[in-house]
Amino acid sequence: MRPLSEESPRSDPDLVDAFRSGEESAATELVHRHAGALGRYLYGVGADPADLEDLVQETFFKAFRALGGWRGEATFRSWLFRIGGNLRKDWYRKHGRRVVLPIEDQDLADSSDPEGEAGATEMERKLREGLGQLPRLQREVFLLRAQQGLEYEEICAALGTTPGSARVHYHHAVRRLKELMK
Amino acid sequence: MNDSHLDSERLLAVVQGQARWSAEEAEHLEQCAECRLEWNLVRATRSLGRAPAGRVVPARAAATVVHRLRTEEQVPASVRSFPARWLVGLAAVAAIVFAVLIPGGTMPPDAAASGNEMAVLHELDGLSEAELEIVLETIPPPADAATHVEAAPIGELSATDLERMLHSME
Repeated sequence: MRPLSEESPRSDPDLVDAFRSGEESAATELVHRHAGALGRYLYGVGADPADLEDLVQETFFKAFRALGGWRGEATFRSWLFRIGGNLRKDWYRKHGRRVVLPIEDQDLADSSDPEGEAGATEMERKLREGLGQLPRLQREVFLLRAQQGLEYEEICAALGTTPGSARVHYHHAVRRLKELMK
Repeated sequence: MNDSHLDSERLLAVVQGQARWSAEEAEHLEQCAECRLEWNLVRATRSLGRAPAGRVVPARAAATVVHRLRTEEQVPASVRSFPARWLVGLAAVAAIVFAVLIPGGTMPPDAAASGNEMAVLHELDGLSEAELEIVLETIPPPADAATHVEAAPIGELSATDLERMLHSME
């Protein structure tokens, strides 16, 4: 028998099955695995940094409660992003707040290179403002592809579109963002 | 690379570490402002949100979510795959409510006073409006309202009945 530390990590579907069987620690492991990516995605689609933790927790809670509806057509992560994206939309509709697009300095990536940091700051600011001007589907496809590295098949499973449409949305988004960032 | 610019999918593959630039591509990137703009765009997107998302503490999020799952477990969700257990629970609630509400029910007064009915009320607290409606539908109306009104006056109760009644009021 191999030592515990050498065991390969369990896959998401394995953890989901374990959770369904009552293994609570499987939920903990799934949160650890996906919380960071989910937070980045939610920030990219326009969530206020101050709301990120609440949104991440709420997304996981809803996902675990709805696990009966996950059939594995989409990956657990892309399914999570779909829930998170819908939740964010409802969250701001319910709270009557517009998504905060301009970002504060403390929200930008840290860097030991002040010159590079200033460039990244300006780039990120423009990027987020540009993302805020895209139609929702373009923004989500672009982020799932460019930020999260999902394949088009996963994206269309998550967003309920076709791979062909997802590609078109991606290219529209790139074109518009390039125009906005010039 | 197509006739004029680097392919968008190729840019993504490189930024995600799945490929490297060839010498020709690297040279093109250096000279083409349009491709550099897209390259900078996908690079910035790749790192977008690292700092704010870094403030989300996975351990804290996990603990909160698991705690909520535990404490809110009693609220039945339509997506949950245990409808039978839920229905059994509702039936049990209905049966106990029925026993408490119907005059002359079989529940002994001492059992009613033992605190069991409190558990029922807690369970009702956890139900949604719709679920409460279902519980109400399972409860039959009082067999005959007149029965309650015309119940035997205290004077006609036996000594045992009076003893039970006093005990239940303590």
